[in-house]
Amino acid sequence: MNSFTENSGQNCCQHEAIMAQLRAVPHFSEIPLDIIKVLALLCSPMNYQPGTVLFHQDDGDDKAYLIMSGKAELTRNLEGQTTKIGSLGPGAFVGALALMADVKRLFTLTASETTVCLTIRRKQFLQALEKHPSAHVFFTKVLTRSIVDWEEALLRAGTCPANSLGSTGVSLL
Amino acid sequence: MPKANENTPVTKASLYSWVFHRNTNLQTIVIGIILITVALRLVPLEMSKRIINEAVGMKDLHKLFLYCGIYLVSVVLAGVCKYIINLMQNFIGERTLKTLREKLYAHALSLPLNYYRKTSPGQVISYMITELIPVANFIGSAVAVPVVNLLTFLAYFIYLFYLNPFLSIIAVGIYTVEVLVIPPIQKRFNRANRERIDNTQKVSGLIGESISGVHEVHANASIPLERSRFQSTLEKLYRSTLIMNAYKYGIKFSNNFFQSLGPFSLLLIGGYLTIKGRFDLGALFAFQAAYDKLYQPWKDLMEFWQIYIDSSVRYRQVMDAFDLVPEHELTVHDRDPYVLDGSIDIRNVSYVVGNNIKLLDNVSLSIREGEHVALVGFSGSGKSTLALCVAQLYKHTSGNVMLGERDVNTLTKQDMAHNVGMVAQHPFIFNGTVRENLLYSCDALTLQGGACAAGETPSLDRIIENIQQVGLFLDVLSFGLRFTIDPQEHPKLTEAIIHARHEFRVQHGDDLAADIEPFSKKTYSRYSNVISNITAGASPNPEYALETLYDKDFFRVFLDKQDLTEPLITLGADLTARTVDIFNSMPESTVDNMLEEMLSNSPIAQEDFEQCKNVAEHLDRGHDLRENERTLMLKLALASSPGRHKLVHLSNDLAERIKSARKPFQEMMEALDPGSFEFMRWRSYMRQRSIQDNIVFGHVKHDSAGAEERINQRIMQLLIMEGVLEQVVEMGLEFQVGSMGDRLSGGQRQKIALARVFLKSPKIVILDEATAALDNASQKRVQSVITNKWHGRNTVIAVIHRLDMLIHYDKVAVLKAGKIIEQGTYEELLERKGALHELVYGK
Ligand SMILES: Nc1ncnc2c1ncn2[C@@H]1O[C@H](COP(=O)(O)OP(=O)(O)O)[C@@H](O)[C@H]1O
Ligand SMILES: [Mg+2]
Repeated sequence: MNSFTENSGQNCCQHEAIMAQLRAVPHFSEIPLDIIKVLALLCSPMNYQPGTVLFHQDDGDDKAYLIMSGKAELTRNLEGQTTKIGSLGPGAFVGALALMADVKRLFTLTASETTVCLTIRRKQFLQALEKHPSAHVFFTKVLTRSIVDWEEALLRAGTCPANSLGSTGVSLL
Repeated sequence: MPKANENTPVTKASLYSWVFHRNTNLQTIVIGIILITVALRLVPLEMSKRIINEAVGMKDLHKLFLYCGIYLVSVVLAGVCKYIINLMQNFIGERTLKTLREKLYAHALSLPLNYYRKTSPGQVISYMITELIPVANFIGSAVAVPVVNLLTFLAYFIYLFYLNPFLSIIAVGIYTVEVLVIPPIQKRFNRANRERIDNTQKVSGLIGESISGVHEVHANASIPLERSRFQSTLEKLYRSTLIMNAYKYGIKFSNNFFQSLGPFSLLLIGGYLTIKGRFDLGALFAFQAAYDKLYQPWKDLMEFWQIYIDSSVRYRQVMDAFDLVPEHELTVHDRDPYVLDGSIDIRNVSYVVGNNIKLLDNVSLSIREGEHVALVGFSGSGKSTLALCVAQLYKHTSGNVMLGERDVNTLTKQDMAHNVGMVAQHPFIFNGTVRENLLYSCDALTLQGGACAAGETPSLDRIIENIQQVGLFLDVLSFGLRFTIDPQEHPKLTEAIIHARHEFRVQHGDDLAADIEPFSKKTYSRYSNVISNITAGASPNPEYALETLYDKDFFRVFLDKQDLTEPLITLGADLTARTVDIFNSMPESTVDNMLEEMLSNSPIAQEDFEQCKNVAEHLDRGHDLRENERTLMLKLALASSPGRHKLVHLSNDLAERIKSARKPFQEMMEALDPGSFEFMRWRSYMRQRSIQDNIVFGHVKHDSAGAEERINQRIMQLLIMEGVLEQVVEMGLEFQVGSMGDRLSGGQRQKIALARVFLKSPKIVILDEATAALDNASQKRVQSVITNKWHGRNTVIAVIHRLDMLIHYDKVAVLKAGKIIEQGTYEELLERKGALHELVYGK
């Protein structure tokens, strides 16, 4: 009669697969497992066929994206010229700023293979974290640190000419 | 301000004006009937006296029958009259309530927007609905009750006086004492009662507190402390209850005492007088009866006085709440609505609220007919405020807004309806169909003697044209595709759909393979639930509705035979355990907020959740499930579909076994009730399913990004070929959008608001971030429609949040803190390298 217990423990349903992926994201590493469970229930993986766009440059967005499998290509369009920025594979977590406030997407993300991607909406994220301010603080910390690290890397690479306030200095915002 | 309104505003009317408002005739009739009633009420008294004195006393049977007959007739007639009075009272009250509500509602709707920054919808509802009911009851009874009771009282009194003046004065004296004695006791009782209620709440609060904090109590070993706190509060409750009851019984005692004091003194004095021969027996009997009857009118009068005080307070409260003059007149008088040219001249306009907060500060902007002007600036800079001032929704505090050379303050709402249209920043969608919402502006205009650009009642073609322009067409089509139709009623459409099904499979079967899970006899459908996988069909007979089969005996026997019962119950129990586990780890307050959303991708219905919690607990403790719990688990299992429900674990093995039950099920149904079930067949229409399901003949995989849109695009092409596209779109227009449009996405709501103004196409168009909720491509398309449709003809003021749209505008005004700090063409302003340049390119 109690055969249902046999199943728990192994990776049997979609929910557990999603949880495993979420726990691997550094931003969520300090979030208690109980909340990850809730978050995993709230957000849904979507399948993208090759050539389908995950998000569009210039569109407003309130979601973060976690690629669970497959591959997607990041591009930027400037006055008709499309530049390839790079490609993202399983485990890539992008667009986390949208979990803080509405953002305009500066790039386009297109599936280049059949891709499964978990989209996390701000509303659901905030709901899940509502009663756990410390998890939220940690999330902000990771996000802030990654912005600063990233700017520092740019500066070290020498992309900081004189009088370039406005195009560099993100951390001054 | 022109003052042309013939009747005073509803909020200024006095309570008593409603009593006679259009009711004067009725009230006169009521008084007439009352006079008759009162007269009729005296007859039985007189008759009883005569029966005793003349009939019984004289042993005259003939008179006995006569008087008894008159007695009976007068009692019945008095009853009938009272009934008529009640009916009329009710009629007057309800009719006045209706008028009052209508007038008040119209008045409330016309009040300025600012009023509703301070007044919540709930307040308005309570004023309009609950508060007015006692007022209306009072209005209905305002004439009848006092007149009936006063007259009755007087009549009885006069009758008593006629029987015996001396006794009658004693009788009234007793009443007067009663009136003086009882109310003070009543007052004390009320006070004691309030105290008791307070104390009850305190005791409950204390219990609640200690129980919630019981861990703290234990930790501090403070049980004795808590007990003494509880004791002292309980003591107060105990005392106040005793005192209250003492007063209560005191009132009862006084009532009884006076009730018997009357008869006592009457019997004593009346008996004495009768024995002395100065009073006859019949008169004593009648006196006694009349004395009893004095009580009722007396009591009713007292109550009426209370109701009067209460109603007038309520009435004033309601009226004061709405006592504000609308800022603009609603309709034109003695002229036709103006036909304005489209020029707009904003001259030194300021809008100051509260303590000299300048929301707009000396703004000037002049716009020629047909010009398109963009307002830009940071959030909170006053763009919406300016747009609302032009649209007459806010009344600016100084300066002038001239629309077609007329001051906006002098225009009526009707003029505005004829000349101006607006899309608000957060458009509101009303409960009803898509079509009703699309035609909202047009219908409002038609009602006020105007006509939309798209015609008085826009044709289907015009509506379709407009929903295409705003990009709503595919959405409306998808609404239409969700409808189910009866093939008998729509034979042509049915045929076209079946044909489209074939074409769809042939043309798109391959390229949409990843988006669709086709219905198939051979495979288990992971996007369908278990029950559909067993039945592979549906029945129009509610007896066999799929979601009820779990509880039907024949079906349970069937599952047993197929050896499916136990595995399915295990499936449901597994799901329950997982789901409850997640909820158990959440704080309770969060659970309440999120229950609906969390269960939205679970087969567990909200109302079953509590029971599921019990089941999970039993399972946790290793208990066997009870019969009703097993039934619930079966219900959940049958509703599960692993493609949609993340917590469902359905092994391939079990899926196969479920699938092989299809054939036996079909055989059983054919034996049990031939023809009752319609099994899915490639060639036949499935009337239980939507048009989309019928064409796709499979499940749209909701987790395949963009699947729905790709599929609907293809379906649209096919429906064009079949010549039935319009028919389906027309069904889509009848889609119910839900309260506040909650069945629509934010983008769809905004598109509807845009289509409203497109259909109306007024001379002056005001758009407040009207495309903000749309994706990039739709924004561009809508912008190009705006330019093509209106440039040079209709004036447009648009608050723009996407700066790349600015090239489509003749003029740009940049706002900052309520001031226009820059205006000119887009190129000019960019060259100037000022505020706009900063907005576009950053510092
Ligand atoms: N009637 C009002 N009373 C008080 N403050 C208001 C009123 N209307 C708007 N505001 C405030 O005025 C500011 C300007 O608002 P708004 O015109 O909506 O800005 P924008 O549309 O440019 O974002 C905001 O801070 C808003 O809260
Ligand atoms: Mg605004």
